[in-house]
Formats: sequence, C-alpha cells, structure tokens
Amino acid sequence: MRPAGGVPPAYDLERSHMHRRLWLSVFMAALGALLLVVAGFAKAATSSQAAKKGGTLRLNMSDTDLDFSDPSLSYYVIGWQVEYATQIKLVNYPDKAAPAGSRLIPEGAAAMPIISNNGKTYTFTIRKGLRFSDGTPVTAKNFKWAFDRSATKAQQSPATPFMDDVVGYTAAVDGGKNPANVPGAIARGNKFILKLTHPDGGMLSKLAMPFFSAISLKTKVDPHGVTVYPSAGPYYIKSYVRGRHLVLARNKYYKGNRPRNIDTFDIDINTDVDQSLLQVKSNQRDYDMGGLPPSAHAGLKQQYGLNGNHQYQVHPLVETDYTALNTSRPAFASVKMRKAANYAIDRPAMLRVRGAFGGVRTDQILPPGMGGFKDVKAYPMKGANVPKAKSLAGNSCKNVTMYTTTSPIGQNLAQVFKYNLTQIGCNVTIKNFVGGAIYTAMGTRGEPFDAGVAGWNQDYPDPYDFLNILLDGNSIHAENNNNLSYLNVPKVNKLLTAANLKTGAARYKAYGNLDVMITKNYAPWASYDNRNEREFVSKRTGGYLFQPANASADLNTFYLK
Amino acid sequence: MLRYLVRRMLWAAVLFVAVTLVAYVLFFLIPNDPARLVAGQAATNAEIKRVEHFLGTDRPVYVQYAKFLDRLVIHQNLGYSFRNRESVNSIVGNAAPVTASLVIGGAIFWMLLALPIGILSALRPRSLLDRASMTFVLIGISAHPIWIGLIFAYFFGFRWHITPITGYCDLIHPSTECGGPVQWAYHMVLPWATFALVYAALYVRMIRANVLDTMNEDYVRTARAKGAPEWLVHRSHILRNALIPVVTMLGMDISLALGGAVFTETVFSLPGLGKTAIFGLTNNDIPIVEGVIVFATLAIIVFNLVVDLLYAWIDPRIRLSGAA
Repeated sequence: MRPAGGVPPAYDLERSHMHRRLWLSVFMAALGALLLVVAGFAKAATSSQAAKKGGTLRLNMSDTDLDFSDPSLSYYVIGWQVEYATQIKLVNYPDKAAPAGSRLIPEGAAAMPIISNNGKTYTFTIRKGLRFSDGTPVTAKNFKWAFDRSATKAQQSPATPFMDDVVGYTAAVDGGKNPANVPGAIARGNKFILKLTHPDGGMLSKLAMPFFSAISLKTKVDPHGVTVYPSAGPYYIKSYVRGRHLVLARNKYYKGNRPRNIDTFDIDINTDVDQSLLQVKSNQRDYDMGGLPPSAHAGLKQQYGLNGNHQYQVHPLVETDYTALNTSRPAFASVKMRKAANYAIDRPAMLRVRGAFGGVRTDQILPPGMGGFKDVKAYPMKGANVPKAKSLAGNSCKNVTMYTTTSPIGQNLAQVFKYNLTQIGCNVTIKNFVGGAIYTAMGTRGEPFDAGVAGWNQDYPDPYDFLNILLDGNSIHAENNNNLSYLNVPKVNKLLTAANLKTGAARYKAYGNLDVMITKNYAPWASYDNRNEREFVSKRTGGYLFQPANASADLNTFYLK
Repeated sequence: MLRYLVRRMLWAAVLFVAVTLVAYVLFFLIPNDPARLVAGQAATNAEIKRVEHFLGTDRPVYVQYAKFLDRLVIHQNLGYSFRNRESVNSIVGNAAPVTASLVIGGAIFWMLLALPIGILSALRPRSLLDRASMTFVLIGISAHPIWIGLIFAYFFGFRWHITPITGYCDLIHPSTECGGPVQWAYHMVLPWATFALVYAALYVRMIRANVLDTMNEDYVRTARAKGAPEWLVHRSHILRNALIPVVTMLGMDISLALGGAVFTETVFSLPGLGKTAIFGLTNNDIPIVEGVIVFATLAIIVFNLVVDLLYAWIDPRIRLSGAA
C-alpha cells in the first residue's frame, strides 16, 4: 500500500505528467473507438446494402467439368474453387482480396499450430463447434482420415507428391494397405499432430490444399471418387451429375465466420462458352466459371466497364508464362545465348497474343503475387532490345527447334518468338503438339527441343511451388520432368534446398533473392507474362471477391442485388 | 436370307474390330501421357509411374487393346474414364439419349420440311416455289451448323426471348430441376431446327430429283394411260419408288448422327455423344472416346441392317431377287 501524502514531488510531477498522458490516451482511445464504431456502421451499411443474403446463383462451367468432387482427388482450379466453398481445412486463406487473401489463417484449427523447435512436429488444436453438413462434429480424426484416405493406394490421390515429408506417408502409399494409416498424422483428443521427417517451411501452405480438408469418417475410400458427401465448409455438394449439373447448398450446421450469402449455386456443366456469354448478358445465368470467349474481352470492357462495380472484372493470377530454354542442348547451353533470347523477345507482342487484359509483362520466374517477389526488370519489358541481344549472341545462334501447342495462342506465341530470334540470326523450326502432349514431350530428358512454350500456375501460394518444382536440378529424371529448361546448377540446387528450410519472412527473402539470381545469372526461361483471370457477371449479381490464393472467384462472397 | 444376315453380321464384327483398333492405335501415335494428367502437375516421376500402372497405360498397346476387347465382349464393360474414373458405360448411357433426342427429333423435323418442299418442287419445276426451295437448299447446304446455331440462339434466344439460348432438360427421369416433356421440347426446338436445316436442304434436293426421274418412268406413263387418278399415280407409282433411296439415306444419316452430332451439341451445350467425344479427345481420355466409337459403330451397323431389311420390304424386286 502506498503511504498517503508520502509521495515525493518528482513522482508527483511524473504522476501529473502521466495523468495528462493517460487522459490523452483515454481521449484517443475513445476517439478511435468512436471511429471504429462509425466505420463499423458504415461497413455494416455497405454490406447490408450490398451483400444481400439468399437467392440462387445460376452459373455455367463452360467447356469443362470438375475432374472430381472428391477432395482427395480434385486437382483442377475449378474443382478447388468448389472445394474452397465446401471444405474446411486446418489452415486456410481468408475470403479476402489480395494481399490478405493469400495469408494463411487458422480455420479448422483454433489457432496456428505449435511447431516444435526442430520444425518437425506441428500440433493443431481443433476448433470447437464445427460440424459436417450431416450434423456430425468435426474432430481431429477427420483431419487424420484426410491423410490416411489420400495415402491409400487404391484411392490414387494426386496429393501424394506434397506429403512425402510426413513420417510414413510414402511408405503407407507404397504399402498398399486399405485404408492406409499414416503414422506421422496423429489424432489425439482435440489435437491433430503432424510429424515430419525434416523441416518443411511450405507445409502450412500444403495443408491448405483441399486434399487435406476434414473428411467425414463415413466417406470411405473410393477409387472412382465420391460425388456427394458430407462436408464441413459453408456449403456442401447437394447433387452432382458429372458432365451435366452441380448444385451447392448452404451447410446449415456451419458455425464459422466465413461469408455465405447465396442460398444455392445451380451450376450447368460443359456449356458452350459463346452461348454462355449470351446467357450472362441476358441475365439467364450469372457467371461462367469456365471463362469467356477469347475475343470478347475488349467489347465487354467497352460495353460494361472494367472492375469496380462493373460487370467485367480483371484479376491478376499467380502464374508465369515462359519459354523454357533447354540448357542441356547446344543452342541454349550458354548463359550468354539464354540472356540474348531474353533481350530478343518482344514481351508486349507476346502478351498481345492473349487478347485484351490478358495479363502483365514479366521477365522473372516468380509472379508478382507470390511471396518474396522483387521486381528487378532484368530484361527489356517494352519490346526487344535487338542490338544488345545481337551483341550477346554474336554469330553463335544456329538452329533452334521450338515446341508449341496447336492452340491459336500457342501458334501465335511461337511465331512471335520465331521472328524475334530470327533477328539475332537463329533459324527457328516450330514443332506443334496437341494440348498437354507438349509437356509429355518436353518433360522427357533428351527430347530434341531447344525452346518450348510453357506456363505454371501455383498449386499453393509458396515460392517453393515455382522455384524448387521447376528449377531444382536434383529432380531431373528420364521422363515426366517439370524442370523443362533442364537447369542443373549445384549451387542453385543447394540454395533452393536451403530456402525451403526457412520459414516466414526469411523464407520469402531467400526465394526472392533466388528468383533474381536465377533470372539474372542463369536465365533458364524467357518469361513474358503473368496472366489475368477475366470474368463477367450478370446484372443481377451484386458483387463478389476474387480469391487470389485459389486464382478464382470466391463463391462464398457472391451476392445478388 | 439367313445366310445374308450371317454374312452381314460377320462383316459387322470385322468392321467393329477395325474401327476400334484404328482409334486405339491413333491415340498411341500421339505423344501423350494420361498418367501425367491424372497425377497432377507437381507429380514426381515415381508417382507418374505408379499412376501409369493404375491406369494400365504402362502395358504395350496390343495388351491394352486386348484387355479392352476382353472387357467389352465378356463383361460388356467399356472401362473407366482416365480423367474422372467414371464408368464409360454410364457416360455413354447418359449421353446417348440426349443425342437420340436430337437426331430423331431432328430427323422428323427435316423430313417434315423436305418431303412437301421436295415433292412440290418436283411437281412444279421452275415455278416460284421451286426456285424459292432451291434457294433454301443452297443456304442450308452452304451454312455451317455452328453458324446456323449461333444465329438462331442469338435471335430466337438472346434478342427475342422466344426459346432458351442453350441447355438441355431430360425428357424422363430428370437429373436436374429442369425436366419433363414440355421443358425438353422447349429446349430442343432450336437444336432440332439447326440440325434439321442442313439435312433438310440435302433431302429436298434429293427428293426433287428422284420424283422428277420417276415421273418420266414408263410405268408412270402406263398408269396414267390406264386412266388411274393423278393422286393414285403420285402415291403408288411416283412417291413409293422415289422414296426408296430416301429411306436408305435416312437410315445411314441417322446412324451416323447417332455417333454424335458434334456441332449442334456443342453450340447448344447438349450433353450428348458428340460433346462427350470432344471432351474425351481434348482431355486425352481414350476410354471415353473408345466408348463413343463403340456406340457409334454399333449404331451404324444396326441401322444399316434395319435399312437393308426395310429396303427389301419397300421394294418387292429386292425380295424377289433374294428369293431367286
């Protein structure tokens, strides 16, 4: 207890000073609170006016279908768009626009995991009160089941490449036991524990993939994939007829804080993209998840306006399009020649091939939306710098075999590239492939190509998914390679491995530096654009958000006027 | 007749094997790997190999083809889609009624158009009606079904709101909220019209030519000389003979179209065999493509057989020559 009147003057002075500070703080706090309340009201007013609840949103899915609706099997962007609305994961990306939408937050977990000092054990506490659409509670066992189900050989899940760091995961897949039991995925009470063989700084991003969503214990292993099943996200799949129709309805047991404005999504599958546009224009449908006709963009912008509250929206994707320069063959074996190609290509011309608002120019590996990206402008962005390219190439460019696709875009890109390289004395021969066949061909070591058109869209927002997957020389095999430039520099490989051991800001910094170093010093790619997603919604659609991590419209946020 | 039937059936079997084999081999000439598609873009070499084994694409092409035939003949199983692992029996089974809806409805449409126009044109050659019908024929033959479909959808669906722009509703057992005879017909009007227009044009020309030819036959002149009324001459002597080649052609066209009316199905988003085949092709999903090919081949074989039998029924000379 403080003695009465026994306060020394200095203290008193100090106290009086503190008093003023305190009052000032109280005043500022009150002002802040008032502003927050006002802002809250303002926001509430906007959302109540804008984000109207209820109704049916009628969508098309032109020229495509879900590969699967089963979370263990679905691996296409459009499938993940649906899974994002229907699943609950340990950690997930919030229903927010970039950049907040790319930052992981706990979802099925009550908080971010406790990671052991050696980075090899992740402990999640499961959030209370979560339920599947059939009313059963979500527990740690449901997350454990996601791991066991995807590791069951009979399930043949594409999730397996992402979890080879988990103790016993690969052995469980190879063991063939049905169902598998992954020893490194442990459900203990309300805790889910993940044990790794070695630290993996990208593990949380991998856990945000739909493969590892909570799966009902009633959903058994099914090699053909389940179509309708209980799910714990804001919505669930009410019905799905492959190739025809998909219906998503609200999960009435969902108690989380994610938005869910629309009551029902009625989705027609494999529609025609041109007719679909007419349907959206005439408000018969509200949005096409499959995209838009390539020639429609300029007209849509002119007629309906761009972004903001307009019906035509353009959003950047976390994606890079590039020409892979095959470092294992003479034409581009030298760094000088690869740099020459980077100076020679006309990036604006290549971007124009994609039509209006098709994307932005780039000369780097990591796209701008990726953590760690630093814009360094290593090569000319406003057109070719032929004199510089010529000075680098000298007279050394002879024959170049370029692989491309038979699509109109693939054909036009190849023609631009051919013209550009001809300017520096190369003799370019183009070879065409139908659809994905180009990746099979270019992915085979020893295939006689010198350059090839390629693109990469993130699986999850982590630079590992670009740099390690696409440029680590240690992963080069006889076939099925993703490292299409066959870059194999021991120093780079070592740095890539080291970067993957880091976490947080240090991880992004390391990858950002690697991106710049590889682009400037090794130039394995002639990157030219980061694509945009272009979308068009009906007049009756009030609004929606574009989810940057999923590279697609966030169905949860759609609302009707 | 039995010998004829057996011979036809044997030829059908040879044709069936040849068609499916060629389709299989063509797929293997394309440097493509369905396992890579299934395993995903980030899959390692080992994972892709495992998927190849799961799909059976790691075996030689003749083994895969033999397994396909074995499955088909012994178990009546067309296999499973590489892309979504759905039973191809069910994929083809769901798509076939849609195509049948289009083709049979379209055939009724085009015959309803072609018969009166063709006959009247022939009966009044070089008249205004004849010249107008020939203009219609020219447009119908020149215009591509995709263009016709787009124009129809734009005007009737988008501008005037008379019909839906696109879409399909099941006739029975609707798989969606949209279904039943009324909705089915309402959604099929434009596809039928589009599909029918090209064929109607061809049939008008053929019916006109056949009727004109038959009108100059001796037996027609004889019938008239015997005092037969004109309607009887037209019905029993001219039309009956003039329509024999039309029946043959109708059978062949329907059987061919059952293999997939690709353009019309694409424009109007009809989930039929044509659209299914295109989807299979673009996704390198050989089981789906083979499934559609098997169905189309069977349809062609069966319809040709039916047409041959009908031919014998319509034309007594064929029956008599068979008996002799």
